[in-house]
Amino acid sequence: MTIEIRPRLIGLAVVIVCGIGLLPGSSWAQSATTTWPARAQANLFGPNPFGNVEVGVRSISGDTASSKFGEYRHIPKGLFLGRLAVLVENADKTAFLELRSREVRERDQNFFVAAGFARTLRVEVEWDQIPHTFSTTGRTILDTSVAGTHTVSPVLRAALAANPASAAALVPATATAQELEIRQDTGRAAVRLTPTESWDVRVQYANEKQAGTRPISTNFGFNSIEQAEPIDYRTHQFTSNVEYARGPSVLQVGYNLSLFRNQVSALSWDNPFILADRVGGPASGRLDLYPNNDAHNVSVTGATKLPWSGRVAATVNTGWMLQNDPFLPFTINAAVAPLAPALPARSLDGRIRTLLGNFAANVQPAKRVSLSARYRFYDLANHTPALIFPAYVSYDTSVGTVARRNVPYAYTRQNAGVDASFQLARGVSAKALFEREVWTREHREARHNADNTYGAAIDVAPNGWLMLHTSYRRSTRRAAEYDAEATAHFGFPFGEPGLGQLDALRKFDQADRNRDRLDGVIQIAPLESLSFDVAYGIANDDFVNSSYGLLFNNSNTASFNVTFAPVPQVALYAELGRELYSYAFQSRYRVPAGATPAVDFTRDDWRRSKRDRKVTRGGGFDAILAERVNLNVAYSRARATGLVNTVALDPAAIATVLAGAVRYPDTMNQLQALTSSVRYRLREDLAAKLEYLFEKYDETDFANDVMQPVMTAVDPSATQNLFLGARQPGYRAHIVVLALQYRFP
Amino acid sequence: MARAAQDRAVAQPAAAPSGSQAAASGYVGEATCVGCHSLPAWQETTHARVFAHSRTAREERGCEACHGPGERHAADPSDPGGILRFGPKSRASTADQNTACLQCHEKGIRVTWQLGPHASRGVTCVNCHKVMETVSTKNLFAKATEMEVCFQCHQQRRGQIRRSSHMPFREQKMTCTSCHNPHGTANPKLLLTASVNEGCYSCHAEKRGPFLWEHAPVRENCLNCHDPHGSNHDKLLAAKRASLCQRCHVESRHPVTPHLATTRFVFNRSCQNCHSQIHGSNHPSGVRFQR
Repeated sequence: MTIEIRPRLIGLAVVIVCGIGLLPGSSWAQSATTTWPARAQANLFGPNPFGNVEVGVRSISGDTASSKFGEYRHIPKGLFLGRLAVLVENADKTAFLELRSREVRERDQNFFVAAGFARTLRVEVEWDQIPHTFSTTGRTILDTSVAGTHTVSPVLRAALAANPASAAALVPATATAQELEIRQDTGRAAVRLTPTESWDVRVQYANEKQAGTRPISTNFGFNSIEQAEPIDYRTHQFTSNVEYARGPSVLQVGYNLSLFRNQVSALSWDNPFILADRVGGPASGRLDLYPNNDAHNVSVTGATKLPWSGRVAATVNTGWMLQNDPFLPFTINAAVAPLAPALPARSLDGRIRTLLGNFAANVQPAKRVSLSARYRFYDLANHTPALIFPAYVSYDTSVGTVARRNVPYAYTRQNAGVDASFQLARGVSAKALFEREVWTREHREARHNADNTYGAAIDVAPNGWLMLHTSYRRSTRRAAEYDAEATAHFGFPFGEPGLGQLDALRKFDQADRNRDRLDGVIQIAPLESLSFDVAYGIANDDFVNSSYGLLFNNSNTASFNVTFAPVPQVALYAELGRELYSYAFQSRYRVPAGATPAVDFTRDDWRRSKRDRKVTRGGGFDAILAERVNLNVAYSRARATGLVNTVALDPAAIATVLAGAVRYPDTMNQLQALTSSVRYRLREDLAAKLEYLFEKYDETDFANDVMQPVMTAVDPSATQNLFLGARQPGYRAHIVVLALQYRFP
Repeated sequence: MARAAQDRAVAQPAAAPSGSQAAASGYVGEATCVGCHSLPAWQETTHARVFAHSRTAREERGCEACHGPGERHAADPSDPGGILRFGPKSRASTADQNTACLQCHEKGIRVTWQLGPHASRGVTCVNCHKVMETVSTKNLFAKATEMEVCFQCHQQRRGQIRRSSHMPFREQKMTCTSCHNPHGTANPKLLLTASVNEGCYSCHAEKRGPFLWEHAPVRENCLNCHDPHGSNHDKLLAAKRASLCQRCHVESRHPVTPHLATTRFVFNRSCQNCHSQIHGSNHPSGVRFQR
């Protein structure tokens, strides 16, 4: 059951509340002006207003057509107002108005306004835009001008239907550019009221709009029709929190509401290769896009002190996730729809209830000893009805014969832990811990998982020149009652055809696992002007009892940084980071019993291993060359390479179904960035900046580089498959900026 | 031992008495401090504004509200243990330094600081925040940006946000506290929300459901497939497709076939070339996440 709350009413209520709070005669405003002590009348600070602004002109050259250049940002040529910050206060600083903006009139612009009375009332309003460009190379034959109803020109469709092989020539010739970009616009208003030191009331409303298009694959069986998914989302977020604090005791009560509304509930599209519906041949397809949903959350947190310098805190948090959008029919295919069974319900009435209970306490029974204990309970109870569908329609083609039942997955996760910290000497402490995590699941393979962790940490910071943090943790997770077919038992109410899941498979998120984690950071500053940082991390997951599925998943990381200031006017730094990630999993080629004799033999086992390596290098300096000139140069290069290799464990099987057990082409991506700027101070409050930025991104990825609207040249079997050809190639950008920076007063 | 006792004595700024009792406890007043310490940068800080509008007896103490009684320090400024100092060279313990801050700030998002992992690892407030001068646009960070603060220790994350697939961290549209509260929470990994997924839903509300057809690892934990800190695989995926899916799907036919890279089972979005609704489907025919 969905609770209907009109989002616009919520927005109106927030505006009214804010407005009342700002009225000169309101009780909030009065409380703000009556609680300041006489001392506040003294004007201790400088003149007002103050702030800074940067305006300039930008030139861009190079090859910047790739979506990676403007993935989450907008960098146009020409005049720009890059940054504005103004703070206005009255003489005694009891009232303020703060304005900030970034990237004005650009697609990633941000405006922020805050106003209020010192320490009692703060009202914020913010507008923020985040673009996300997926690709700039997309092309399609579908007309997407009506969001959610995509069509193909009748002439082209007739030609493709008459001769599907003609797609190789017709599609590239007729496809038009398809924008693949969304933008998230968020408006936010917040009020914080602190009438006394004890009370803190916060209310916020945010309205988020996401609009645009992004790639989505739709299909008729193994025939994919990739197209642009229309995105038109509204999300209303209302959050509120009231806190009462008295001495060391605090009580917090909060309520959050989130309403998601999708303005385009379904996507239908023409099948370019079939003109009229028939059984086995849909003329169109229809996809259900994300349904509207509601979420509510109530939380209560209390904390107070304990004897022995201790503290205790408890949290109870419960929430509901609700979804009840009407079901679409089984199919859009008019020839198949009459053959489909009746829907078991008009909508899902999906209901999930979450419950969190958390308790934590800490005491210091001796001067150098600290003991902590905690227990956490998180329950996700899925009250969604389990509906039996006697049959369903596979990709709008035909009615199947296998009944299915939706599976309301649920779980409970409990964590308990204790740790003891000892201060061995001034600035030297050690910590030992034990934690236990227990999962209990419904309808998943492992009904129970228990994970025990032992750990130790040493922290050393005896003085200003040395700091060391290091820790080691060993975890052992074991599964109980693992049944590889547990989900199928429920999801196939009248039995499962075929082989089902391999019994020996152990899914990595539930499998028996030994985990070792070592990490740390050392910072050494032998001189005031010289410091070294070394960080390292080792994380090894060994799935000790898995013959199939993920076998291991390891990572080794290390980084080194040095900063050096040989003279006060010059600071240099350099960094180097290396990361290595590797994993392997094992699988088996299998063919189900039924139409053909079952093929399920160890001779068809294969194993895939993956290794990713990342290397990051960088360096730069910041120098004051003369009293008025500042020079800054920074360079970084982040390079990643990936290797995927697959081997057939029985070489005799390679020539058959395991012909794909080969090493894939290696992948690589590399981002280089050079930033250099010269800043010349014209006056005390005015500076000119000349900046040069060079960015270069290179990428080699066998899965993306080859993409074109028609892929039969790469995969001859991909007839009647159409793609967007959405690639993310590299780019090279030279950006020159000339700007004036003004600081006032 | 005597030095340690002295350090503890000065590191007791909390519960400061007032009036004549204050004088007896060694408080000398802000005017005495200003006599030697000229701090123009301090004047424009948030704390300077707060103390200018003090609402409690503690705040009335000005400098000594944080640094504790100044009498011993005023008598012998060369004595490093004469007053509570902050930072790596302080003789005071981590707990004592933090207590000075928590006497006012142990509420709001910091209510469980003492119970959190950063406190137990010897992190002080001034490791991340700078009170005496303003170097960041908000939250009194010790570095210009919040991420630079976190990267002091979490250096692996610095590398991750430079990866080809990343959330808009570099573009300053998100930051660490978009998902975490470093001051302590009731949740693992200092998450703001009760589960990983609830945090993801705060921006990706469309994936919240519940859906008719759910994908079990999706319902349990987004991190089963994604690495939110950055990845070299499309969509912040923890592994390249189709390997990501094949680690768990050993049923029959195409999921268990090691396809060539030049097939539609591998290129583009691989498995999601057909199973596009992998986060869940509400379509009656969407049991295989194709509708």
